[in-house]
Amino acid sequence: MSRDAALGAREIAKVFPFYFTLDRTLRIVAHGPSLGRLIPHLAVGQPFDQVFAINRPKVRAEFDELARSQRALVLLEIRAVDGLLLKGQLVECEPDLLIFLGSPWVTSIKRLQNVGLSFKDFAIHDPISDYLVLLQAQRTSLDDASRFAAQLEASNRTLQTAYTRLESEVTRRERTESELRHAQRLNSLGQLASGAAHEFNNLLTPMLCLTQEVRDDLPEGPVRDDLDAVVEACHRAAKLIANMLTFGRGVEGPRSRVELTQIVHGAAHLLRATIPTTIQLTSEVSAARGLIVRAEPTQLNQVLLNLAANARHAIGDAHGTIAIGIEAVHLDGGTAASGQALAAGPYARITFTDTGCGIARAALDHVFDPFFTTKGVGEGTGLGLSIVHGIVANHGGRIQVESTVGVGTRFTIDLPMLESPHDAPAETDARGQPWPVC
Amino acid sequence: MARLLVIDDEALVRRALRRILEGAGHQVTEAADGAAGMIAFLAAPQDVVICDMVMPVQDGLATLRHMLAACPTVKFIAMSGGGRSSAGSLLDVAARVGARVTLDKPLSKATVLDAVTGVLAGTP
Amino acid sequence: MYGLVNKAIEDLVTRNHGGDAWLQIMTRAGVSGPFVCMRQYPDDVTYRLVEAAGQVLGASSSDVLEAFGEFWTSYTAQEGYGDMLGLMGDNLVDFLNDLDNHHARVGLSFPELLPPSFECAELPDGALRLRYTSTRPGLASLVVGLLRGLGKMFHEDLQIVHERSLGPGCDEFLIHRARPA
Repeated sequence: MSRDAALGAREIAKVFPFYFTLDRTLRIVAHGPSLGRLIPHLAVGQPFDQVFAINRPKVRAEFDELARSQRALVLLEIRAVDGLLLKGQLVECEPDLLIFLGSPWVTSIKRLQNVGLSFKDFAIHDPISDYLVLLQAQRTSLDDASRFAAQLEASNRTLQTAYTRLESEVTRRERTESELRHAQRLNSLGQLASGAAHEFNNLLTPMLCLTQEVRDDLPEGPVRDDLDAVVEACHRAAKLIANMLTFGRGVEGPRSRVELTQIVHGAAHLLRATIPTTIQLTSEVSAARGLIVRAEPTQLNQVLLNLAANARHAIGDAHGTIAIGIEAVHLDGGTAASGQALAAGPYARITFTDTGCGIARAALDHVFDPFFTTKGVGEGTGLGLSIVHGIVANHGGRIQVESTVGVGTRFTIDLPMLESPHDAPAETDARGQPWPVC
Repeated sequence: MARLLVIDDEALVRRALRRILEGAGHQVTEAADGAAGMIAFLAAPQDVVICDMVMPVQDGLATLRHMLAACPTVKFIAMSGGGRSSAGSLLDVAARVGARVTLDKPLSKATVLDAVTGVLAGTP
Repeated sequence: MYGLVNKAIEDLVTRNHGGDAWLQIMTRAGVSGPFVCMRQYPDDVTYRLVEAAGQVLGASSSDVLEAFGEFWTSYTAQEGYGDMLGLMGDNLVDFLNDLDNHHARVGLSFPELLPPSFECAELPDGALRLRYTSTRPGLASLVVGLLRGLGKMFHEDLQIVHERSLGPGCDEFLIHRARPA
C-alpha cells in the first residue's frame, strides 16, 4: 500500500493562511491566521454570510449548492473589508465540511497596505508577490515610455525652433545676396558714371569754350542770345555731372564741417534730373543759410537719395510732391537713433515730405528694420531706410517718421548743429577753384 | 602775348583752347600726349604749359616731373575732367609736385584766360 | 544588469552633480543612453560607468559603489518599489533573510536577473553577521552602501565592517546595531 500525504489543519494553515471551513449550518468552524488578521472580529462560529457575500458563482449561500460548486472559481466579497475579494475554490474535504482554499485578490501594493497585509501574510508559494512584481515592472516600463515620449517631444520642439530659425536665416541670406548683387550693380554703375563723367567734362570743354569764344565776337542780338542759352545749358550739364560724381564716388570720406543748404541743393539738383516730372520737387531753405553740421557729405547725400527713392515709390505713377526743408531748431532732449539720449541744444532739422500712399500704423514700427519692405522681389531690397537710420545714428542724430495712409509721409531728421554757423567756409564742390602752390 | 603749350589727347579740347588763347593774342603749340608735349617743350621755349592729367603714352604727372627736371621754373597748369575727390586726386598730387594752378573740367573761357594771366603775372 | 541599475546611477550623479557631469561620465565610459529600465544590458556597461564616474567626480570606484548602494534603497523606494519594500519585512533581519526569496520570485519573471544572495545570522551580542555571495566580483563596497541605506530605512544606527573576503564575490560583513531589534 502506498502512502500519500494527508494534510492536517496546522499544515493547511501554513499553506493556505486565508483558508476557512464551513459546516452544514454554514458557520465558520475554523480559519487561517491571516484571515483572522484581515477580518476584524472574525470569530469561530460566525455565520458565513455575515462575513462574506458570494460574488461568484451565482449560487445561494446554502451548503449543498456550495458543495455542488467545487468546480467553480469562487470569488467572495469580504463585507468587513470594503471591496476586497477572496479568490479560491471550495473542496468538500469531509462529509458536511467545506473548505475554502484561496487568498485575497489584490491588484496593487497600495491596496495590500490599505487592508493591513504584507507579503508575510501570504503563503510562500502564493503567486501574489510575483503578480505584484510584474505589475510594478509594467508600471516602470510605462514610465520609461512616457519619459522617452516626453524627451522626443522636447527634441521635436527644439528641432522645430532650429528649423524655423534656419528658414529665416536662409531667407535673410537670400535677401543679403540680393542686396549684395544690387550694391555691386550700383558700384559698377558708379564706376561707369565716374568714367563717363570724365569724358563728358572733356567734351563739355570745347562746347563751352568755343561757344563762349564765338559769342564774344558777336554783337548784341538774337544769335548772341541763343549762344548764351547754349552756354547756360553747358553750365547746367557740368553741374549735373559734378553732382553725379559726388554720389557715384562710393568712397566715403571723413566727417567735416558741412553746410547743409549746399548738400540739400546738390541732392535736389540731382534728384530733379532723375525723378519724373509728374512729381513736383521743392526745397525750402528759408532762413537756413549757414547751418553747419559735422557730417560726411556722401552719406548725407545717400540719406536724401534713399528718402527720395522711398517717396517716389510711395507716389508711384500719380502726381505728387516731394518737399525738402531745412531749419534750425532747439531740442530739449529726446532719444537719438542710436538709442542714447539726445543732448539739449541746437539742431539742424531736415524735413522730407511726400504726398505718397503713406505707411500703415502697424508698419510704422518696422519701417527702419533691415529687409522690411512692401516692394516686390526685384523692386528693392528693403535696406534703403535702414541705411538712412544707420547714417543718422552714426551722426548722433535722430530720425522720426509720421504718416497718414492715403495722404503722405514726413521724415524728420535732426542733426547736432555746430556752434557759430558763421565760421570758416565749409567744403564745397566748386569748380575750377585755383589752388595755391604747395 | 605769350608762348603757350597745350597738351591734351582730346582734339576738341585742344581746338577750344587754341581758339580762346589765340583770340586773346597768345601763341599756341599743341601736343596730343605727354611724350609729344615733352619734345615740343624742349624744342622751343614755352612760357606756360597747360596739360591734361590723364593721357596715353605719357600722362600729365610724369610730364610735369620731366619738365620740372628740365626747367624748375616751368609755369605748369594742370587740368582734369575727373572731378575733385578727397586727398589723392591727380590734381592734388600735381599741385604738390609743382603745378602752379589746377583746373577742373569743363573749362570756361574766363577760367582759362584768368589762369593764364595769373600764372604769367606770377600771382599764384 | 537591468537598465534600472544604470538609470539609478544616472539619477544619483545627476541629482548630486548635475546633468553635465553625467554627460561627461557617459562619454568617458563610451556609453550612450537612454536606459530602458526593464531591458538587460551587459555588466560591462555598469562597470565602465562606475569607473568613469569615479574619474570624473574625483572619487575611487569603491566610494562610488558605496554611495550607489546607499542610494539604491531610497531610489527603489521612490521609483515605486518602495511600497513593495514595505511588504518585504518590517525589520532588518527579516528583510535580509527574505531577500533571497524575493529575488527568486523576481527572477521567475525576469530570467536574466542574476541576483546576489544574502544570509543573515544574529549573534549573541545583537550584532549581525551577513554572508554575501554574488556572481559578480568586486562589489563589497556596494553591499556596505546597501546596508547603510537599509539601516536608514529601518531607523537603525548601523556600524558596518567588512570582515573578510572568502573569494571573488563572496564576503562577510559584521553589522553592529546601536538599537538591536
